[in-house]
Amino acid sequence: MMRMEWVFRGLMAACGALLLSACTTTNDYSARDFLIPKENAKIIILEPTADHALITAGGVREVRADWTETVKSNLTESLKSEFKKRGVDVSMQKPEDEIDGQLLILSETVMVNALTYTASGAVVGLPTKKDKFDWTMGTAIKPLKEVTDADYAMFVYSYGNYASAGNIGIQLVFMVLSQGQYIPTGGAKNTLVSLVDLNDGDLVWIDQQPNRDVRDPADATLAVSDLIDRIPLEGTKTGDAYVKARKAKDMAAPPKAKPSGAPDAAPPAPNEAGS
Amino acid sequence: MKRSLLAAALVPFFAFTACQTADVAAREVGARPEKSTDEAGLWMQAGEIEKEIKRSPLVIKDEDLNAYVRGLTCKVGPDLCNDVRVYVVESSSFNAFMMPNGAMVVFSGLMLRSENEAQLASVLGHEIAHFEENHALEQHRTLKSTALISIMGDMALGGLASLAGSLSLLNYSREHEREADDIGFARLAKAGYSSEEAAKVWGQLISEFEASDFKRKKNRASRSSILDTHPAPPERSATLAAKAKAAPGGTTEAEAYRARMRPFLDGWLDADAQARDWGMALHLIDRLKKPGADLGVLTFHKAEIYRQRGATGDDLKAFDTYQAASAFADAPARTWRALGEAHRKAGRNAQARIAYTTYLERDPSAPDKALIEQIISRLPKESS
Repeated sequence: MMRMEWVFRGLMAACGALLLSACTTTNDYSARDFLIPKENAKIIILEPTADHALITAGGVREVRADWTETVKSNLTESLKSEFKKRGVDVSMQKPEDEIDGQLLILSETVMVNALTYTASGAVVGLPTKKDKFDWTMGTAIKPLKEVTDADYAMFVYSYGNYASAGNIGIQLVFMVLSQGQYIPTGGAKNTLVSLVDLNDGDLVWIDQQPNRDVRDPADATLAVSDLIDRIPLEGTKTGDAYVKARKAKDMAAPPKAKPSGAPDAAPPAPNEAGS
Repeated sequence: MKRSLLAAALVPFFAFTACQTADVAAREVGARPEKSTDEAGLWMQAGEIEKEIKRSPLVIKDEDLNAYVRGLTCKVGPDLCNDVRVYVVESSSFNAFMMPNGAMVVFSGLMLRSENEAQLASVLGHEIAHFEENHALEQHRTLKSTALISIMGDMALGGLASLAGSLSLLNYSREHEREADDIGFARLAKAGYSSEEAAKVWGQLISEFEASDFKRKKNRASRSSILDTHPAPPERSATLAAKAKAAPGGTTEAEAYRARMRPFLDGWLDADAQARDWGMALHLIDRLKKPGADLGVLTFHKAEIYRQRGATGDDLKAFDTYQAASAFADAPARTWRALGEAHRKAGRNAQARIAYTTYLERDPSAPDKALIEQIISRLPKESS
């Protein structure tokens, strides 16, 4: 048993991100019950960050520069085309300077934590985050607001650990040795996206797509299309559903946009218009 | 039980050591890795870390200092000069490291401890050797093969194989350090520096460790272990000293070096004292004092150490040492603030007033100016 323990540890390290992608049911997380109007909201997208690696037979993580670059360009192209399809104007922001670099690291951390610990659908729900979504990037977002004067910023982070054939072979041996207690995996992958209000740094929406292999351009487009459709934004599926729901409730008032900069009076509620 | 386990682990350990064949040919000038290779992955990861380093507030931006260290790097590594990027960072430990993509980080603690250009250049040559010989790539490939053998071996030996594998990786790391010492030495001599200085770097470090207040650090000076990533300093010192006998001559450039470091000495000594290892700190100052330069700054910092250490009699020692420092032209303005404090505590108010006033005269933009002015205004007039 001793030796199995060591192996398990090695394998756990190999798919350290399993926690996140374990919840294959995709949940959308939204801070507020509101709809972003596509005409009056300026949205910028920061260049996606990515980290895709091969897990060698012995379980060593080997970062692949070619995969990572392919993922970045796949996601960038898909984001541009999928937003365009929905008639939403977005501009890409290349993170060159100090501000953006620090923000990208912060965004990765906040996204991973928000998706890990937010109660609904999370593997590890934090009691303090139960029934509320109040993740924020805080005042760190200010410089980005000043530089871009946009209303929302989208952050995209994609990672992947792909088991090599040799690694899967070794895992199969362990499955046999452990009499089925150990189940081989092909690794873990995920693409996380968040939308941040540039006025206060709050995450207004966040989601993930752990099922698509974004190294493949077609899969990347499907992943991005699916993710965009879950944003509470006019022109997306979620946005349209929101409008319909409002009409059904016989509310004559136009979709309520969140007043920029002003804090919400009501406590944040999960977006029910989502899928 | 423990002993027999270790003995059993040693058998596969030697097996691992025997089958390490990750040798990669030396780097060619200007070479860049192919996109789909493991090396490209290492470069990408290093590139991310390098971006972080560039953004770090710890990076010293001073143009002269950067140009100087960069110049030294090119002197010992003229061939790879365009492939290596140098980052000088504010960190008081004795260290420098090279990343797989040619980004080299040099710590201020290393520059503070080097006595001359040749000593710093010997470390730079060592780091360039790691890059030249692709040590990071070799380590990565060896890790891959070792991990695989470990997993398979563990099925038979139950954990021992992975223990042996880890030990063999550490052994491999020490081999790389020895190789880098060898190549660094050759590069130092070729650049016309006194090759004796390479061994002195380690000799100095050993005596500094021996002066430590802490037993663990004292032991570090000489003890070596199979868990070390680097060979023990005495081994490195002895090997390099023996090589130096065969290659006499060369320059050290001690004065030029100290002149370059002078603007930073005061700040770096402040940072060094934060480790609160007074034995080591005093030893370093006494060593740096020997060339007879910067006596005001060095004496002031010696007094600072006495003051902060606060052992019996240290008050007096600190006061005497501050006074000694004040006789040198390069004493920092803070010397007089410290003297003012000491006088005030002893009730010598007239002298305190003079010392505080001198402090503000010497540093008119002192951050604590308002506070000191208030202290002066509250000093009783006629009590000394």
